[in-house]
Amino acid sequence: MILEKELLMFFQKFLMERGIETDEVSLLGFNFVGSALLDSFEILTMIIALETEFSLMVLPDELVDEKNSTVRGLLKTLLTKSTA
Amino acid sequence: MMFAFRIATSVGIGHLMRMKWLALELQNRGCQSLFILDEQSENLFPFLAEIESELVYLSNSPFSAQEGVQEDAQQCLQLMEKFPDINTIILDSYDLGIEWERVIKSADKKVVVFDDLARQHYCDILFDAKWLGADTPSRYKDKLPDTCRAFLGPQYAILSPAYKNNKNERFLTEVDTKKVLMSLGGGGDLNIIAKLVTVLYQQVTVKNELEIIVVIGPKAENIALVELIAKVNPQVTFLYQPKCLAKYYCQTDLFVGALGTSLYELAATKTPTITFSIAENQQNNYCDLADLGHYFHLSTFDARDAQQVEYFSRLIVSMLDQLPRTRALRAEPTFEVDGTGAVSIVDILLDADSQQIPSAKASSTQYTSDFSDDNERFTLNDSMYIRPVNDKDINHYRQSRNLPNNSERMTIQTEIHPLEHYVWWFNNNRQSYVLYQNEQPLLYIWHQESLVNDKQYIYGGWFTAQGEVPFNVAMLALKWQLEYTQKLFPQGHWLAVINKENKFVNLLNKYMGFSTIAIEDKSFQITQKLFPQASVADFNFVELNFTELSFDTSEE
Repeated sequence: MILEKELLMFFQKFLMERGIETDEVSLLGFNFVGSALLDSFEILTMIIALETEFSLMVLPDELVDEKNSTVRGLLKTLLTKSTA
Repeated sequence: MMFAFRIATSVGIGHLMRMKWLALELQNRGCQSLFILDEQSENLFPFLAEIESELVYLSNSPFSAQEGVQEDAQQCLQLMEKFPDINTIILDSYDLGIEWERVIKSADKKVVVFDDLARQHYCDILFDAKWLGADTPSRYKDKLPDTCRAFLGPQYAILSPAYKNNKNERFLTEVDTKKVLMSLGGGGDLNIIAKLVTVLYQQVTVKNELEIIVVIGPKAENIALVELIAKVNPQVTFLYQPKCLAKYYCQTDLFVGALGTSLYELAATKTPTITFSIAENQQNNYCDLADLGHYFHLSTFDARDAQQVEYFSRLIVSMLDQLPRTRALRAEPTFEVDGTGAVSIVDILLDADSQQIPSAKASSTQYTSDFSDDNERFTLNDSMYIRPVNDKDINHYRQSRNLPNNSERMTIQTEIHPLEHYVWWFNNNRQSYVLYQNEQPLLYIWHQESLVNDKQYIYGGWFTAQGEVPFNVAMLALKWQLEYTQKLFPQGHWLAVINKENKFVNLLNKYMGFSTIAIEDKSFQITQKLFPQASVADFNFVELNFTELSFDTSEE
């Protein structure tokens, strides 16, 4: 539960630093690719930061999975990894 | 049964020749024909020796004038009235069109039109043999009456009967002496061929192993130049104004010449071919030509440019040296031209003449996006796979590489000319692959091995096949490549250069485990040799040992 909150805070902060304001609801629905607000470099920066800060690696195969294109989907995948 | 033909003969005899073969097929089925031709000084009867046709020359007004077109149509109707068996007139003319057709139709006669300019028509049946790939069926959209039936595509190309089921015989045996046929059609500046032949014989090591036959058309220029070259190179011989080239196409290993009217004939005989455009109407899309098994076309070729002539000659040598590859490209086209167009057309004409013509939309070849063969696939997920690039990808590979968003990030940022690309294609050791998503090619990815002081190095790169590649697809492709090359070269050491402006790819490679090569490191010098055009100012030099891969591949 703590990790979930930390991850949500991470995503919100990451987006805010790039000028993307979100609330609790819009954050979960935010689509990394579909929003067209983040370029490839920014998304990869986020993936690397997740690995650095939380030791959670997102594999390329998981990144092409449509389910992980939103904060909600990626969060679920990361939480599953953390408990595995 | 009898058919009238209105054929333009004021400029060239192309229309006349194809209608002659159609009339011959009608004649073989017991039908007669009336040929109505433009007024002219030249007697065309010798060109029509094979058919027993009534021949009439019209005295025409200028076609640009409305009255001239009306008068032409009225004269045709009057001639048709003399032959009660004639109910249909076949039009093959760039000068006459919809207005002429309206006059004929108003007299309750059937009009069949042959066109390749996608003009508007008022006819009962339309044939157009031009192949424009997926755009072929829609060429006449909203340009024909609802009752008109349109038959579109190369299966309606009318060729001489000599091309019917006549295939290149050079496929059948292993040949010692290679034969090249060169032609610029009926005219052209033979200085182009003279330059090519001269450079070609400088490049061939055993001159006796290459025979060149040059076609001399009736309106060819600089004939003396090529004749002079033949005195120095006795392997060069000439065909003066040949009536039909079918048997020569069947007995040559490679045809080199202008695109023009030989396109479908060469497709029918499956003769390996290099063509270039010498006229505006010879511009074609690479993909459309490839559908016919023709992969080597130069939309521009300047024989005054010594480097282009040099590359052209090297391409000829390369294709002859690798004839099995060259022939294989011709052997299985997406679209077969079998030289039976006239037979198919007569089937339609006779059927249409005996039945009510049903209202129907255009019927043409179904275009399939059969981009290439898929002998070996590496499935990445439900929608993505990677396959090795094959020779059918030759043009798409170059077109993709030349896309601005690719070339501006490469070590060579200028556009690669087709000639340079083709020569490279036949002589490189690169292993290239193409990644598909939902059956669309997204990116090309390649690697190559290099042994330096017994140490195995791998270098490579990737570029988009169309538009931007999504970041996650690029990641997946690079991961696949590293895993794949790890299996092939377990002791290999990866070297690469990345444009400093390309922030994403720099970060991606770092994420995958690549690290910067120090200038004093020996890997740096090797990388410089592998990428001689990459400057330190513009490119990052990076390396990877497989032990440093950032993801676990042990499960695969």
